[in-house]
Amino acid sequence: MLTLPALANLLTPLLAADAGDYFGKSVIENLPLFLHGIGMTLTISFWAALISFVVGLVVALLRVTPSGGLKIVAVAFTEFFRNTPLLVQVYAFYFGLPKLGVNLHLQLGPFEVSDSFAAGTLGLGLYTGAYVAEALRAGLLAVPKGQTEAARSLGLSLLQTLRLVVVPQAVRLVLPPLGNLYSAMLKNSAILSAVGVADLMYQADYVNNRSFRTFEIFSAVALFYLMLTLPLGFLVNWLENKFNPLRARRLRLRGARV
Amino acid sequence: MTNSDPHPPSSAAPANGTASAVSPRGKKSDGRPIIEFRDVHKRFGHLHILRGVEETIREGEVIVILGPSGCGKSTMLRCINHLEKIDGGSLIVDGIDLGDPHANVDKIRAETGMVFQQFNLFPHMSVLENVMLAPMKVRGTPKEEASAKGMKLLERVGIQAKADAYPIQLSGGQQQRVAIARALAMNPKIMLFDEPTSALDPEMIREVLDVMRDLARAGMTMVTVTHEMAFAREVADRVLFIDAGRVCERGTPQAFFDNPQEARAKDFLSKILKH
Amino acid sequence: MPSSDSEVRTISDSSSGTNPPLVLPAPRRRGPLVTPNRVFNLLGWLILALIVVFLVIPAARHGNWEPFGDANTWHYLWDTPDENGKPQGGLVYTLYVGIAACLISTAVGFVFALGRSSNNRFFHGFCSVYIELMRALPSYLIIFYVFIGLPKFASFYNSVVWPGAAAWARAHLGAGLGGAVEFLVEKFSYVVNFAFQWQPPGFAIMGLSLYTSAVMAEIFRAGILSIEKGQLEAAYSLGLKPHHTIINIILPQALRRMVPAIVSQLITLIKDTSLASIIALQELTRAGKQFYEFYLEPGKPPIVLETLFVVAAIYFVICYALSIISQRLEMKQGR
Ligand SMILES: Nc1ncnc2c1ncn2[C@@H]1O[C@H](COP(=O)(O)OP(=O)(O)OP(=O)(O)O)[C@@H](O)[C@H]1O
Ligand SMILES: [Mg+2]
Repeated sequence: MLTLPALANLLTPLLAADAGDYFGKSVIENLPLFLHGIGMTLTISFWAALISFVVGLVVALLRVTPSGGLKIVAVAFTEFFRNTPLLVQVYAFYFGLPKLGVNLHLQLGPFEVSDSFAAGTLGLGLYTGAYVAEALRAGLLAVPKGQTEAARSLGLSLLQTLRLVVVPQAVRLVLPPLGNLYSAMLKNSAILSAVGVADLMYQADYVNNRSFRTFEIFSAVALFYLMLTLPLGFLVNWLENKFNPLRARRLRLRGARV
Repeated sequence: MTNSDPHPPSSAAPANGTASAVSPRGKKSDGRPIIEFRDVHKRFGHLHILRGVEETIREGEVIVILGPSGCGKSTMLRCINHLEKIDGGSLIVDGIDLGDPHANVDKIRAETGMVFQQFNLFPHMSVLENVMLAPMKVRGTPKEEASAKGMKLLERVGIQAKADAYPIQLSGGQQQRVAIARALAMNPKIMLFDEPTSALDPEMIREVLDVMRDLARAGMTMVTVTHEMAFAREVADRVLFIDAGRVCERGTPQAFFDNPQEARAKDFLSKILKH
Repeated sequence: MPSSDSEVRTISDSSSGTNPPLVLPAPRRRGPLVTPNRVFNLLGWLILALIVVFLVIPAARHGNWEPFGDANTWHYLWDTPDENGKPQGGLVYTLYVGIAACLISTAVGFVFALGRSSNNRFFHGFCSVYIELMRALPSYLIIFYVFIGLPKFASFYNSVVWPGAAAWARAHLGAGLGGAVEFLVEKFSYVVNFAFQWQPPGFAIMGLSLYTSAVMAEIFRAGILSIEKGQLEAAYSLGLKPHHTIINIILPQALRRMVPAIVSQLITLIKDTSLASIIALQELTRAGKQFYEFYLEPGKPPIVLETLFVVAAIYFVICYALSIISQRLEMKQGR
């Protein structure tokens, strides 16, 4: 019969090389590297999130203002960045900008910013910003026109109308899609390892090239990414239910199945 | 058509629209029982909505169900059509017990037509296609026949001109009349109406009520939930007042509206009739 | 993932068909959010003019666009032919990988959507875990995992699992059952070796399909769930059988609603084919990169940005065309 030790023997070539070895050894031994990688993934995601939100907000406002010229700029920006691959954009920043004489290696006071970090943050931020702009615009426009008209006819100023009537309603429409976007952004940050950003993916590749223990390394990395993205997914679900309590009730009643 | 006749299945719905014999009201109580609620219970989780409904509805009767909001009127109708499963007691519709897990539900659904407050027309099909769909798919009626019959029914509800339009191009009243025609296309023995006019503007309510009135005159068995008191008074054979999950008062419209017995019914009427 | 405004169409309360829909379709708004202002408008055009004069025109003038007047450049980007003219990569590979992954993930995604909607606990659980897992991982990582892990798994299967299981079955299960197990184990090796033998594009197709099929499954499920309950009740009350209801009522409506989400996922897929360049597939992005790295002409400036711009423009044409088609379809069904 196929006994348990026999099974373990069969699996050994796949999982571990020698006796005294164990599954996950290279991960444990290189844990500091992986933790650095996670730190870098979070750092770059944070800065890219900041850039993307500012860019997205500005572009969304440009798109809803009735100024023909600005609208063309905004539309060109969103459509170009949404319809081309992030990798190409990042390559353009990383390999292309220095050719124009732009120095990406920055010294901001005590902080040194490497060129790969600068190019990666910029690329990820602008790429995500184009999506953020679309999400914000959709949220602003989804507030029915009657609401603006009612507010204006009550004598509220334009800014008051936006601040007191339109934005509060738009926020609840916009938060869930934004959550999805930022969770996608966190995953997309893995692409930046292609230009040498020392993030989680980069460290995994590095350790893999030295130890060739592919399965355990990439399984661990998958687990790390799950730990980063799943909480964001739960947050989005929670937001969706919070702003749509009846939907939540419906899902509970039906056990969330078809 | 006289109500004491045993009905061959397809003659129950007068599809030609000319059957105009108004059966004398007194005689309807002689009809064969077609819907029998016996101690029917229905729960939604912890909510006990129907708590022992007892009622017998006879063939050809026009019933109007009244009651405060949330008392379970819709639930009662939906049980008849087996859109909700009952949790206790027995509900016999045209000889089939819906409490029985092996009941032929499809047969009941094909023989009862239902009209919803929100119309529920199929938005991706034209008006005529909406009406033709069920006869073709359920009964296997050939396309030409279904189409001819569909046109006849649309004529009967007065919108043959819109046969090729899509639901979204119609007014609410027109949509609801299409929904009635769609239900009639299956030659139902029983028609269920759940607040068919509640989503309509006042001027459209009439056109729908007119169609329903014609249907009642033609002898259709109808169970209607509505807040149109004038319609109830004029067309209903009997009124059922539901409260706390039971039929708490029943009687002719005259008796119910002019001289309600139960305190809860009096209370309800005083609130409704003031508006 | 792209914003999901298509998901929030009309979800009606399940408690009774008589309540109004909870989430009304977002009304299409006509006209601007704020009232026009002439000064502001003028300023906008001025800014646009400045951008064109100081950014676009210099970029076009000072760039080295000469290589892109050469047909060989375009051949290289189109399919990177070898001496015999056989395609070795380029846009052709991008499209090949994209279309194959699209077809596979649509089919697989449909199966997983059904599985997750099933009442069978095992199928439901398995499909849910697959979908959530794949959606939570970077597609970059998945492609990498397939690229590095699959050959190892294949060789392990071929050298250990297959012979081991076959020998064990022969020894312990007797001729009949043992033979059957042997047969199955052998046939499964085709599946295992499939992507391996199919490389280089095989890994990319497999990796992208793993991710995209999970997203497709969720799109299908959301589309089916978005059909108002009243539609089902109307169908049932007419006596339509479940399969008629699915074919005639649910699918036609659900498919229309899913078009925007599906197309936006296809756009993501086309863009994600560029990730295959990191597993050394010579698709468009890598072809472009190789092109500017190999391009050296004395006295001429390098063409990094120019090439990347051309590559980006090619992606843009494909993806933008897809989004235009999707918008057309959406408008057409707006009746
Ligand atoms: N699917 C369901 N799940 C949970 N509760 C339900 C469900 N359907 C109905 N209910 C509850 O059952 C009660 C009765 O509902 P029903 O729709 O039958 O009332 P109704 O008499 O038709 O009221 P209305 O006049 O407002 O239409 C309500 O309190 C409702 O919230
Ligand atoms: Mg109701």
